[in-house]
Amino acid sequence: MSEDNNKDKQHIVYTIEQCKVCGVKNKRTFKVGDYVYKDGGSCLRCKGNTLVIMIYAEPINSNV
Amino acid sequence: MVINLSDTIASIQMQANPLFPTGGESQPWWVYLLWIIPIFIFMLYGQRIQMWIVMQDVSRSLNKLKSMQDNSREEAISYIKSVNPNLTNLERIDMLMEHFTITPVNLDPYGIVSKIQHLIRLRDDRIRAEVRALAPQADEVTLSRLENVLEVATALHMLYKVVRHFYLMGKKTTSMFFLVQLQMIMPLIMQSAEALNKAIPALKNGQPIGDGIGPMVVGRLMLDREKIVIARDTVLSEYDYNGRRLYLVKAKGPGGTVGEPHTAIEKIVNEMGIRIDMIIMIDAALKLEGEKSGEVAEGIGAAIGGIGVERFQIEEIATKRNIPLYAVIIKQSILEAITTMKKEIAEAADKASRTVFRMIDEYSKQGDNILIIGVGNTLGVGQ
Repeated sequence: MSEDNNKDKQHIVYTIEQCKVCGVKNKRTFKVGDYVYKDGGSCLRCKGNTLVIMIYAEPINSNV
Repeated sequence: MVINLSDTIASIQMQANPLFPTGGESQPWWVYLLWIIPIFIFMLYGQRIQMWIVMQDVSRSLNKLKSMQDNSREEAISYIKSVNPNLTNLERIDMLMEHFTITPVNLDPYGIVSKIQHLIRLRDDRIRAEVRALAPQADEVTLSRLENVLEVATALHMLYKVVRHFYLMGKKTTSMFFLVQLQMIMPLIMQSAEALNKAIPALKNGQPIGDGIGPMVVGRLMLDREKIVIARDTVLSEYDYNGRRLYLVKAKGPGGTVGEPHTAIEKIVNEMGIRIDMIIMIDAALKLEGEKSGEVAEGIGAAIGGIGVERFQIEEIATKRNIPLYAVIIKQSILEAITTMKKEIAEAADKASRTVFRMIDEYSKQGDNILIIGVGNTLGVGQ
């Protein structure tokens, strides 16, 4: 039922990057060219290399 | 002037009284006609009225389908033009959308699977060559996305044409038979059409779709490991785990392709001569209404969709070599399967992965060779 309610909602696509060194995750909006398991930018905390581990769509007004 | 409400109601009741005889008193003749005429009208023209209502209903859906078909064609053209700005021959795109495949005759079904496989491979080659001709300078990943977008446009075009055919047949023959059947299946057709229409942005932007969850689970295990191309658009990696050797197979990402896992299995078993003790297939599966998206379930059999050729070949090899065939599925709706992956589905990758390793630990022994296949479209998922 919740799916039906969300059916026509606008979604925003996020890219989740995880640092290969410290494991910190960073959530940002998707950019064309991103793909899962692509090497991401540098970690915001330790400047280590990151890896894109997930790309997913969430409803815009999601509280999650 | 003061109007007495109770008097007014009483006067309306008196005027309307002949229409609702209470019995006893004699009624004027026209009251009887007022009841009898509609009955005759509905007896004689009831079916036509019903047909008119059905036609209006189907016509509304048909118009919606037409706008979706036009939109998908425009999207495909704009995407191709963004890759190849010199493209002027739009006729070629329309020709591609009209491309058809004649399925082999099934009067004698013996050997039909290899015939279907031959035709499917031929069709794939032809479409790929056509797409390459439309955008000669595009790289492999962009070409696969273009192919996906054109496939969606072609599917919507086909849906529109078939629905229009039956609608016009019903109209021409004034046959309720055509129209009512069409009206009954229209909600399912519209559901598929809307899912296809909503898939276009994900395909154009190269975002992973729900169907890519199988390749996502296997792709993670392939990270930092050597990968060889084992079949068309399909990669193989090896992985040692707890005394077992895992052979990992998935479509080569991040382009939008499903690869050829059945050919990969055949090569691994027959050409490379590797003894496989267990096969685990991970795939997205359509959930039933009421089930939760992202639920993970395990079972037995070849978890792979499509026309059936791939499943047939995998079952054939597994049966001949007596290889146990297990499946892990991640549930989702048709809309979720072909649009950008939802959070709950992406998060199910961990659970699916844990399920696979539990199955390996429980169902196999040390020294076994286990084949793990991530089935689905690997768009936006690397390895």
